[in-house]
Amino acid sequence: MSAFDYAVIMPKMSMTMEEGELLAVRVNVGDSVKSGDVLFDVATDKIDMEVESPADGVVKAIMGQIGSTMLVGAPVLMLETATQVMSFDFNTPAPEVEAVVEVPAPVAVAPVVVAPVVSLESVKAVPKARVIARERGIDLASITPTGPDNTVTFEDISNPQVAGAHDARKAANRKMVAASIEKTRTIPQITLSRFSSHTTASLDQGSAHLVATWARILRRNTHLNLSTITEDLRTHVGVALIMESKYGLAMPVFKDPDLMPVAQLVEWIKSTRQQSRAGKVPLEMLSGATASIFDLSDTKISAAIPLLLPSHTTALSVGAPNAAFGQSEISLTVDLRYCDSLEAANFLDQLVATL
Amino acid sequence: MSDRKLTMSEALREAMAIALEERPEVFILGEDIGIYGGAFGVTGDLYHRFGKERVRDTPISELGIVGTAVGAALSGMRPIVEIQFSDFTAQAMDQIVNQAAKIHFMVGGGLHVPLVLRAASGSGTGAAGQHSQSLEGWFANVPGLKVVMPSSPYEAKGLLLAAIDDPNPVIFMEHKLLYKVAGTEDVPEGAYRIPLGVSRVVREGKDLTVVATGIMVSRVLAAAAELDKEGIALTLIDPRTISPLDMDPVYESLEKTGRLMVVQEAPEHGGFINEVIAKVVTSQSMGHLIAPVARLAGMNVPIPYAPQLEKAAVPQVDDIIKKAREVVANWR
Repeated sequence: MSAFDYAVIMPKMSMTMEEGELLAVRVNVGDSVKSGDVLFDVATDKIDMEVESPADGVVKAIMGQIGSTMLVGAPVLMLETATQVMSFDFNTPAPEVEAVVEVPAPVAVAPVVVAPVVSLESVKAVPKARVIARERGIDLASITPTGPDNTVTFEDISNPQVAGAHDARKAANRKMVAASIEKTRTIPQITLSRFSSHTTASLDQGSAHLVATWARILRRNTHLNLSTITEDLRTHVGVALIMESKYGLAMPVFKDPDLMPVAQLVEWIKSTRQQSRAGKVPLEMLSGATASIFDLSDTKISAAIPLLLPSHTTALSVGAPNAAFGQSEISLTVDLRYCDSLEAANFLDQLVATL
Repeated sequence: MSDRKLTMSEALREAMAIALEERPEVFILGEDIGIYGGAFGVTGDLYHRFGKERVRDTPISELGIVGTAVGAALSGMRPIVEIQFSDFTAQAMDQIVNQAAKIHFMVGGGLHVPLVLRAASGSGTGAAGQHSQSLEGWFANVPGLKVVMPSSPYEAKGLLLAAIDDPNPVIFMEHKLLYKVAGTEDVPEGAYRIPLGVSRVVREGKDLTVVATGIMVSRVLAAAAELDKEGIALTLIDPRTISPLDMDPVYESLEKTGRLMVVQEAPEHGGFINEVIAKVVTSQSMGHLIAPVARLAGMNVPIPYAPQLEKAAVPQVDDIIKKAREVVANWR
């Protein structure tokens, strides 16, 4: 049987854990270990835990420094094992050392799958789904939950047609977005871009600052705060934030976001993102926007040309900070029937200055 | 015999008449059950048919009535006690709980207490907090008592005859709103018996298993007819006797539906229906659940006098429809 390398990583032991301290390593290079043997000890601000070997094997290398603080997902030691270990990433980025893991040669016998250690808080599932997962050796974390509160339902695990239905809805959603963009293509518009050196603690916080700042600019410039379809001035300021949804993209509208404490807006955006991922954006948040914002700051995309949505006067996008010089590119598209290009440049400058 | 759509009062009266004819040791006692024919008219003309010795009017003392019945039952009689409102069993609790329920066991099985206690139960008549309770859960919590909750005229007649046959005390909780309503099934004229401790599968459907007692059985049936139109099919199980409780049909049904909803009129907190949930989640049946268990029960309030509030305090057909729809839609 062929042997291959498997990196044992700093595990994520709670929902909030981002890093852990390597307290001790209980094995030496060259040691043979059995599945379940303790390999190393980890301390977090909440819990101290022994990390066990996921499989039988030999310790090939120890990368972790005792006493050092390591990010979740960082490799602590390398195990040479004949068992194909299912890697389970707890929704964190895969460790970069994954590249050194040899591709196992095809083997005659079916690979033994070591059941990943799934903490109860990480996956919610109805009892029947758990029974099926156990019987068929399915990793519940690999199933996309569609039930209330992100729970894996019976249908999610048992009926592949669900995925088909989701795909159909996604396709319909995509079509609808494309059709609406098509309507705004003939509008005279201009897109301006500039770099900004602002930094943010999290995606939600960054989005909140953008949404609130842009809403403030719209509030001061009422001629921009109207529906380009009816030409009625709006009594509120609504900014749509483009976000991931269970069905592709969603554009929930945050009304008067500049009139509430930032912390409250951050929470609102955060909970809306969760609802959106579950495909449940509240109905009252689906209309009433003057502008849209496409926040790509947590991706690797440097810039996107923002597209006007029907009835909107402005659209903004923010790219990821550039790795070399740390600045993000902000782009603004305006409807030239309501705003001239130099005015737009001024608004973009105001936005960057505030951020 | 076809076309015998009786009300529950008529069906119960027939059962008692049969028992009075079959067994000389059977007699009925209670307040206003003789000449007056019963507070809800259940005993009707039995006084005139069987005489005052066998259909006995008593003074207004529930403690005395049940005490008399326990003594008579111990000495070879088969008394049927009628309590005008089940709320008044509180007056007779010592006789029911400490005497009737215990004697057979405390003398090593040497004595029997073949006593049936019929009581008018439940809300919906505008009789307010002291005359509207659903107290079956109290009795289900006392070993030695069997507790029956008939849901229709047909059921009531067969179950009452079985209760009268039973060698030890049976509490028979009759919902007042069912007394005057004609059933949908014919009630055979002669004697038939429905064994205590056997649940009835009222209807079968693939989407949701509903366990409901007493009046809630007919409300769930009405809800099920509406839900059928939406393509939601309910299985309805009527335990008939909440003690002893036959869970097998529930377990079997859950293998097919994976969803459980329980419905009772009595208040939710500490209610009998929670026992059904407990039995499911502490059994192998748990692994069949594809949805959290849904529970519909009365509010934890004394039944209000105002008619709108009285209705709002206990599950109605619309509540059942809404809840069932929610469970089936959310949990696929």
